[in-house]
Amino acid sequence: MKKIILVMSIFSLFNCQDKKIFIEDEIFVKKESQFKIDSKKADNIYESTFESNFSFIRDKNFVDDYQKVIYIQNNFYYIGYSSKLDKRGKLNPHLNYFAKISSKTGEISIIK
Amino acid sequence: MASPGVIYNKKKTIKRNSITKYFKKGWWTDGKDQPIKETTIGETIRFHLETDNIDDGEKIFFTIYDSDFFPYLEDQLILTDRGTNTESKEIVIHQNKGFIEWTTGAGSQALTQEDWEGDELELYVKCTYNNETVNLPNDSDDYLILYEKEVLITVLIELPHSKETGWGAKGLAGHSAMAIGERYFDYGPNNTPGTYSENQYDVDFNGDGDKNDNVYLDNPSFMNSPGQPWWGTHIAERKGINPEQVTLSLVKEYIKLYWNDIKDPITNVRTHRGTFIYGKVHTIEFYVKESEANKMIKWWEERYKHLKVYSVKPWAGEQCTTTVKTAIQQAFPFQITKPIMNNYIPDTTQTPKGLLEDLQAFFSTSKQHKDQHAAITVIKEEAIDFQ
Repeated sequence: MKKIILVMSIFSLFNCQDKKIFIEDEIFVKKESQFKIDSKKADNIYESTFESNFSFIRDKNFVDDYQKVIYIQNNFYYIGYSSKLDKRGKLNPHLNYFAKISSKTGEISIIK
Repeated sequence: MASPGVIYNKKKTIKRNSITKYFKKGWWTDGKDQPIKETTIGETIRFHLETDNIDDGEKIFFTIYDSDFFPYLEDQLILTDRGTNTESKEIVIHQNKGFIEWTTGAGSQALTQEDWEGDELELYVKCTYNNETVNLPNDSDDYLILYEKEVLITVLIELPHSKETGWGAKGLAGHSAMAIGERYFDYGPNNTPGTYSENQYDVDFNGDGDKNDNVYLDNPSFMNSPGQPWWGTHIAERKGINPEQVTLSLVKEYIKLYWNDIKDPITNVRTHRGTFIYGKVHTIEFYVKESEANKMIKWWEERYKHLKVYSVKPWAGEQCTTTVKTAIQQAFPFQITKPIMNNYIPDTTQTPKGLLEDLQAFFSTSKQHKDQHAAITVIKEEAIDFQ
């Protein structure tokens, strides 16, 4: 029985590790406080490199069509834009202009 | 010409003796005196009478009947004088001619919906003058066949893209919508935080037991959000019109547009706003009677008046597929007396894929396209560049 509980605990630990924690979640603040790079800084990195990384200039209609989504997963910040034409809204939508930023170094990688 | 080896079970024609003292003939025309043998409910029609030996100003008493196999079961159609509730019973004769005119409507519609009536009425007129009574036209082949107008129903189904996962694959990344004629209707979530009127949505958003508050919703989502027309809203915003003004034609044009943003390769500025319709899109078309279409329209008009709650959880609200399903069920409800019926969508249908499967078994119900199978067309293939 103890072995089963131990295995289940390990599984649940892995699950926690993989789980997306969205910026709207209450535990987001607690989670980011453990990182060297906070979400504000990560977002600044994303924004300051947006046009060069994505070769795209956002027009005035962009905010009407997209909303920014930020979440933490596996100690990375994931930042992207979901279309307002996606019924999922900010809950696990399909993301465009999508990048991940290391919470340790601030290094940004483009996902798509 | 007879077909060898085939015996047709033809309805027996009634041919009456046309020799009477007062009545020569009777016939049906449209409102412009063009002879007709059939027409649809809603049209203006005339019954003309030619008489003999009747002085000007004399009145013929008439009654309109729907011909039936059993004469004692024949239904009478009551006409009223225009603008009144007074029953219209007389045709005034002038130079041995006279006619009655009316626009067919609710009375005829009600008769077609009676059990055993089939889809049409066969109208003739019983005329009486001085103890002489005749049924006209003389030949039952000339009775006026009256049936409902037909309306084309177009259901639009976008299946989730094959690369979708999670809620997206279950249906959230697809869509179900419908048009009744050119009138377009659909339903989706309003994920925009803001203040919403409980009264307007007919929902107790804050759970305080009434529907009178204006409630701020800070994080509405597809689990629980105010409803709104979906593609209807997107198209309306781009066109600068109301969602109620969005037509089927506009929706078909919109679906054809490229799903993703397009940017200018030199300036990097967006030149096209994507529609995010990247799944395979089908249309399912079938014809229904006008009365059936009206039931669907009534349901949607009420839904657009109070947009209620959108939710993928069936117990919490409705979503795109369940609204289309419910609207269609208004015309084709489950009938315990007809356990095997056409055009049935079970309550368990929840996804665009499930609805598409149900609609594959649909048939047209209008007289003009009776029992023709629903036409299914792929109007947009799944996007190959979606990732």
